[in-house]
Amino acid sequence: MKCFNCGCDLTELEYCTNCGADVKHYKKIIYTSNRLYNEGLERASVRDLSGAVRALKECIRFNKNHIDARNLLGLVYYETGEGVEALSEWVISQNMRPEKNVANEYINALKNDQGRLENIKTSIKKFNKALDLCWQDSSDMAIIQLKKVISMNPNYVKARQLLTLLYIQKEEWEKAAREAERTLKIDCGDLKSLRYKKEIEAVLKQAADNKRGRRKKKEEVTAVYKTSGNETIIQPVGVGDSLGINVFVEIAIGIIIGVCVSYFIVLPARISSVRDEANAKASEYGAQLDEKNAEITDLEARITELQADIQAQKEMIDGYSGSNGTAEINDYLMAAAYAYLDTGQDNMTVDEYLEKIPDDYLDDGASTEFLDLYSYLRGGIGSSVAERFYEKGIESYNSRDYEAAIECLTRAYEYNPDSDDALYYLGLAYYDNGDVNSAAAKFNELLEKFPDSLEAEKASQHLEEIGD
Amino acid sequence: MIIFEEELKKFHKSLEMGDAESDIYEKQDEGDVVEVLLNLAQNSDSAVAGEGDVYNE
Repeated sequence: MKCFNCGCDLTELEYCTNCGADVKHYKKIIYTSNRLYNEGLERASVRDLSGAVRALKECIRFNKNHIDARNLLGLVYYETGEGVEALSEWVISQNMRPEKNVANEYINALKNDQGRLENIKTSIKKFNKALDLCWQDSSDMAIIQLKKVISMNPNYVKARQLLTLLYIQKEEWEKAAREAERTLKIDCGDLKSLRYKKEIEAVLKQAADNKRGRRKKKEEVTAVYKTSGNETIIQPVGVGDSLGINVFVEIAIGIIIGVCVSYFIVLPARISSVRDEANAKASEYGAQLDEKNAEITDLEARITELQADIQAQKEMIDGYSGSNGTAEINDYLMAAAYAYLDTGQDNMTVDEYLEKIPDDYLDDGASTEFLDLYSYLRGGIGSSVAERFYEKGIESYNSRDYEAAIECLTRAYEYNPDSDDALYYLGLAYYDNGDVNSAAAKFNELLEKFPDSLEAEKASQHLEEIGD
Repeated sequence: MIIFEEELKKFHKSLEMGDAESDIYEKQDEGDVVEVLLNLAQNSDSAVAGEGDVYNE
């Protein structure tokens, strides 16, 4: 024991040897508190839980820092179904001593068992509701609620006691006796339960006595004594009277009652039970059906996904195999590259191969590497091919083959967009070919791009002629 | 003899989870006999000290 003043260990003396504080009363308080804790522990060990609660509460009133008492009190509360009270005590204990405290284990165990925690919460709520129902004179509803509470939290002493009280009120003594007995199995020292049990036993005893008394009386009147002259005739009661029609009437009444009971009570209950089972099965099948439908939907989605995947793979394979001409186009580019590298071949050959590559492929499907090589080859042959096309174009123009001239000069201008001559002759070829609109377009382009060139002046004259 | 209404009055609602926090604070704030003793001891010490002051004057 430590001194309350300086915290030093106390001896058997009535004062602190370190600070001199008077510890006589302090020691008495601590001893009393410890004695009460021991009493609580003993009571708890023989399942006198309410006695244990009283002793432990008293112990804490003397010394609120008694950790063991708090932990044990929490445990006892927990055992009687009062989960929240138990948690409160353990949390306070934990606050007082955060480490090396068994309360930590209790709290963690409860936290980890979410199902149990949820049951405790719900059962407490339902119990409180049942208590309200009792005050509202809804005993039957309260009994239903309490039965649920007990099924969730079987050691909930308060709920069992209230149920016992309700059975007493409804004079269902057998049920009340059973419930009181169960309550006492949880907490054998609970005065309320003991009182209920005593009351119930008294009523049951009286009822048994009354029954026994009636039977005795009945047994006593089992014979009728008659005198006929000097003779006394002993005739058993009922013999000869009841063995007649009465027996059959009673049997008939019994059968009728039996039929009625089965028709009005047993049969509806059985029907209801069968219907419930059928409903349960139906909902089970419904759930299974929903599950299967969901699976089917998933699988369908998966199939669609896989089909899309297959299509993509197919397209990729087609791309590699050249079903849309990709391989062929690549061959043209390779052939163009080979012709470019081979000095024995003309640059016009390179152009022929490059010309075979479709424009839409260059715009959309070609890879960066493809385009790089394509541009490189075009750049490489550009000037010489432009010159060749220009010469051929002029030649065709001079020989009045305007169609061929337009084709060659177009290519020449494509390869060399800085050539004002090519553009001028192209316009002229269109003009002489009778396509004045295209001619005007080319002349205008010439005026715009090369306004200071010699051809610009000629183009202007032609435009005037065209009337543009 | 058990009278239902009278017995019912002896039943109190259980603490629900929502009430736990306030219950913990309430219980922690409760005093105990040790505290009473310590207060008494402090008061008697200060009273003695006070008397001493008066005496010294």
